[in-house]
Amino acid sequence: MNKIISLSVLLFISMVMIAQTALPTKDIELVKQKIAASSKNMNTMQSSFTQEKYMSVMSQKIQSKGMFYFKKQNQVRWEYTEPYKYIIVLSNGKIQIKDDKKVSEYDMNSNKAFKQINDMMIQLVQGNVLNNPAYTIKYLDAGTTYLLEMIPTDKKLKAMFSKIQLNFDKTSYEVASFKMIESNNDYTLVKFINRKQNAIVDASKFELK
Amino acid sequence: MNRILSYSFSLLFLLLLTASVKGQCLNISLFESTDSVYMYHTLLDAYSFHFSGIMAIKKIDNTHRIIFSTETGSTLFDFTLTKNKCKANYVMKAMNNALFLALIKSDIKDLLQTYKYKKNYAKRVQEEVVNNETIEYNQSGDKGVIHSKEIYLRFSKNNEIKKIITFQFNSNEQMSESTISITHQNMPITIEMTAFSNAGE
Repeated sequence: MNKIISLSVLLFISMVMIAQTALPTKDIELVKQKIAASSKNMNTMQSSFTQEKYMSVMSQKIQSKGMFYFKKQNQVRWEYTEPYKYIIVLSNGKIQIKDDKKVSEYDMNSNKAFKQINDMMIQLVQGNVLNNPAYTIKYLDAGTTYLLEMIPTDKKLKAMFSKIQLNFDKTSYEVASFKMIESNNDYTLVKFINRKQNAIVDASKFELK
Repeated sequence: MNRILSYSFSLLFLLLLTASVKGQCLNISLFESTDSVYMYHTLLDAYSFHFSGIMAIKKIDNTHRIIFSTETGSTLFDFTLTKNKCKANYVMKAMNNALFLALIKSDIKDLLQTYKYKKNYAKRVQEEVVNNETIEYNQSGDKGVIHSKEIYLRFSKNNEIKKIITFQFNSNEQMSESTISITHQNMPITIEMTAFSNAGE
């Protein structure tokens, strides 16, 4: 009897483990096409977001939140409301930053690191990274989402991230969250909440005064 | 007998003097709690470089770990500061300029040094001469709150003294509600730090 119980428990644990593990997607091409179509149709996006930065050496998470706005081509506004107020706008080759004190403006090319990170994040938000040769991508089925595990092959990206995980909603094929994992296992997880696609986003959102 | 008495008085006077000098000295250790991670929203401007993000400082054993990352989460640099050395564990390539890094490392080292100063002086509470550098600490009030630290460099050629860096603090002893401003007097380098909490474990 005991043997049967322990076998059942083992079977149950195995089933739970299988359920939690993302499995390879069967129809990669279909997923790719759907994501590409969703990305192509996205002209604007606005969404609340939460962000979690985990620093393993300090056993610490920094949690922040705010609003995100995007408009084709490459206009982005990250507006942090907690734990500090901070707005960063990227538009027309310039970076504008608003903190408590002032608005600062910089040429995007004067800060290559920022440009590189920003370009990558725009691609992540739009979901149009699938044909980027800078990554090898695994397509996984994670229950309610498709999980794309992107391993950088590009030297510069490799130095920054060991892996990027993108989660796509299974019905809308929009990016629900992304997680950028660094080589020391520190990570940044961004989740979009109440995401609205193609709603009107006023041009003034991309100009700080 | 008189001689014994005068010796005793001298000894007593010396003892009292030592006690009062000891009473005037106060050691302030900033960023010293091993239980806390000190978080600052930070703006860093140096020549044509501009970076903003989150500076996290934690004391681990006898070292300090300093991680600076962008608001969007990418690590810009990760330093370990021991007593005499600031070692880079990671620096983002775009930030990896030798001169720039040397200056930032030096500022962080100066910022995290243990502070020692005397109480009951409104200004210029202590001058510390280390090699050719003179360091002045100023405080406001008598609760051990430092409001500025200035580093001067003495030029051996003509013995001239020039102020090179100012650290301006608006903080309590625990550094939990603070702003820190680091300004180089002879170079276009400023670091503005504003503390925040609301971080999860």
